Amino acid sequence: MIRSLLTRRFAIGTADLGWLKLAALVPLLAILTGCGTSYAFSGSVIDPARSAPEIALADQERRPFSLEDYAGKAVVLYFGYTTCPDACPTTLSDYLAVKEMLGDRAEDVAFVLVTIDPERDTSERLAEYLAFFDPTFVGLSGTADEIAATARNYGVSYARVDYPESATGYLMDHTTLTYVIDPQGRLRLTYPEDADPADLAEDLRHLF
Amino acid sequence: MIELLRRIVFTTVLVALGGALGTPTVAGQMGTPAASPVAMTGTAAAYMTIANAGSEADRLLGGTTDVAQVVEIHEMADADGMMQMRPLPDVLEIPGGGEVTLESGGLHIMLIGLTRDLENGASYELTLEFERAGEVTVVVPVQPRAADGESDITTAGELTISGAFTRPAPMLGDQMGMHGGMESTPAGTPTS
Repeated sequence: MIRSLLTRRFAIGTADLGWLKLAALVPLLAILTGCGTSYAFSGSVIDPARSAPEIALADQERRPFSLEDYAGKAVVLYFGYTTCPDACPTTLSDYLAVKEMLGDRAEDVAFVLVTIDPERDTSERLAEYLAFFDPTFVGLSGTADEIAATARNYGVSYARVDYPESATGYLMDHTTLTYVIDPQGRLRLTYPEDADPADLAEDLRHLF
Repeated sequence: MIELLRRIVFTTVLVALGGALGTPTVAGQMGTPAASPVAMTGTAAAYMTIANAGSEADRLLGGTTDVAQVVEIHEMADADGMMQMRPLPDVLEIPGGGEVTLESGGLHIMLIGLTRDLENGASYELTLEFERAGEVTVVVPVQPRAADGESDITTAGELTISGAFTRPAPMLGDQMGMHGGMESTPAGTPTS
């Protein structure tokens, strides 16, 4: 009965209400028929979710990394570098907050930093850097070509910019999005740098 | 396309800064001359708001601190999701009767070559040199994010500096020396 009623509403909507109102009706339908979840992710949803591209790099202990090892877990992925003073420490501090908010669920979430500055970021440097924030955070590096291929697969842009007048010598321009891979290995969500850690934590809970 | 956008935005920022600060100079006037070797022992950023109650502009010329070898002023710009950072090509002007906020994603004071870990809950002294107000020492707390409520306020002449903080950051071993790494083995190279 409800279904036929809804079907009729649906038909009327298509004919008379236009796409805008029809779009508003879809979540309502999902709730009424129980065929969907009412949770709306705060992050930008990648739809349709696609299988996350493999990340063939090495971790800070020089062990080969594979997403297959994280099946059943969520992976929070970021591309940055250790000489970055602003965006990267902000993001890692946020991840610490997310991890704390997740409580026991944090065991099922991996936080991964891929360096886009392999010239300076050796495995040792990544290990030292991440140990300061949280020793469970994973730091990935590789050759310049391997990093470039990984970044390309995730739509990450970066570029070295030389500043001979600066003590840093050079800095990296880079995309500062956070990517979330769900426990099924699908690339599901992205977040801008200024996203609220509480939103990320809540979204992560709803992936399980 | 992204590269093109990057260049356009970068140029726009330069032009905008040129308007705000006078003609940008190519040579850096901030911090240490480029010839000084700086061990790349980690970086951090200091954020704050600098207000100028005077009628005349003051200018931030540079700074020093025990916790880093070099202090520079950098600016971030968001170019279509790509964060670009660069040293400010000129001094930072604090307009008379106005204020300048240094914050994430915008201007920040960059500490280069940390001399110790900046642990959450610690604090350090940062001495800023202004053209009119002279040297002003600010105690900067190390914390993950900006304080919600009242924070320490430092006043010097017509200037009021508030909301200063630095996010936790580690001092790293200098494995490559300044600007180095050219001959270093790339991380992730198989060791077996």
